[in-house]
Amino acid sequence: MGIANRVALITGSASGMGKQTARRMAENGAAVVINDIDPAKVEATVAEFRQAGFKVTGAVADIANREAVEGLIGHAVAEFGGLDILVNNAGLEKAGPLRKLTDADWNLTVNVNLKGTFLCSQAAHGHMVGNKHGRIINIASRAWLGGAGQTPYASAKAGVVGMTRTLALELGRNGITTNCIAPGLIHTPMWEELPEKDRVAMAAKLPMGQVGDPDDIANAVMFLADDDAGFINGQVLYVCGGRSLFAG
Amino acid sequence: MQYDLKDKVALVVGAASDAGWVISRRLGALGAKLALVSEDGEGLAALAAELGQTGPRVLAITASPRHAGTAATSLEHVIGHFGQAPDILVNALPFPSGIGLEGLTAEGFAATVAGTFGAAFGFLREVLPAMRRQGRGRVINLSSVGYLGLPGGADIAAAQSGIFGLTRSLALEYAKDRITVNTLVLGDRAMPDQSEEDVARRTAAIPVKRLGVDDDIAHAVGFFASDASKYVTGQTFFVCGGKSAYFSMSV
Repeated sequence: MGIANRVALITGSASGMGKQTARRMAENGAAVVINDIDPAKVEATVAEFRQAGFKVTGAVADIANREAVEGLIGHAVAEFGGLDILVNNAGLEKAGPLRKLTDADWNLTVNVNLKGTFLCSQAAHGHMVGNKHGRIINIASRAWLGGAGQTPYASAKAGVVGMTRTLALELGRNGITTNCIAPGLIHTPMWEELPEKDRVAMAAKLPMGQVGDPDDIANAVMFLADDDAGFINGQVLYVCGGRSLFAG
Repeated sequence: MQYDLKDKVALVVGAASDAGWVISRRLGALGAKLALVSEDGEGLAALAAELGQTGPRVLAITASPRHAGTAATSLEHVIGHFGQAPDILVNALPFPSGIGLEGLTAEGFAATVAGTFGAAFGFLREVLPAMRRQGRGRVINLSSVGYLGLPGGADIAAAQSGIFGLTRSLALEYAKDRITVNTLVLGDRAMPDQSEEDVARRTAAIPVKRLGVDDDIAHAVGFFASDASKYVTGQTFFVCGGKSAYFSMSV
């Protein structure tokens, strides 16, 4: 049971939900690999985690770039001798009404959220096959169900759901489970940037009347990453306080 | 991950069923006090013995969940014994085997619905308002892959689709009360009376190429019964080795 002594790479883990997930995994005994596209953020997070006594290493990589991803996975394996858990968390959104969206908006959103998940999964899975054990956990979004103004993001996250189910069917025989988490509105630095009256209005419309916190995502990741989660495969776990049921 | 349920009161309906047994054992191991309901008095006694006798931490209630009134009297017993309503409700009623349509009678169909979906509703109707008054709660409704719709199991698919709807509706109705309501769908599991042929056939259809074992269910119940899942509600979540990904109903 648990994730002690497993090696976990969490992409986009120098801030927000990814960082909290990495912290909780490290607290529970995993060796964690911190990743971000920003070197200063990676360095700061690794230093913080080392100070806390965690087993940690860091690697800067743009996960939409094949060579960078191969370097990232290579570093993780070289540093910790293997790779058991991959959390495809790095993501971003370029929102806007359909008429205003540009190729750049589409490409960036799809490349980071969808292609990045593909590249990391492809590069990592061979190590898991060799070990007959693996956990691929994709961070999709409740938004894959659709949201006005979110064409590129909803499309990319829907792709992540399709990829999750496909990898679950393809890799399951090798002891690798693939699942995704679909977060709803979570209290992150991005949420705090919204004007207060918008935050109050949005939270009031939620079934629970409040947004989630990064620990809700971290707990869901650890649930799926656990050694005892080997029969959970191909699932979309919505951590959204019921918003997936009704988002009107 | 060790989920903390220290001193929570868990009511398990259908506790002497295969899944009910596994779940009761794990909830107890995570620190919960247990109220166990089953019409199988002998099975219940054996389970209570395994859990360390009835007493302050284990209350055994022999009654049929199918009977109207069982839910209300069970709740009374729980409050009388533990001084509070349940923190956790698990509807773990056993699932009947499927019958092809031409072997199904109206009575047989009604019995399947009453015994699973109807009995679950009875306990939800009594326990959820009590959880609301208490200001907290975790409800887990068990289902099986028959929910997805399999040939020869129209009655089960219908009854379990009812549970799917109940879960979603009640999750929204009780979301502001710090109560979560979820359905856990159990896939094919290793059972003692299976032939080698049966095991091979079922295993071949599961992406992880093995049948489910007790720890698989227990791990999922621990998550959904604890504070770790406080922002997860109204969900239908499969513990099936990936078999559900072959079906459109699973997303």
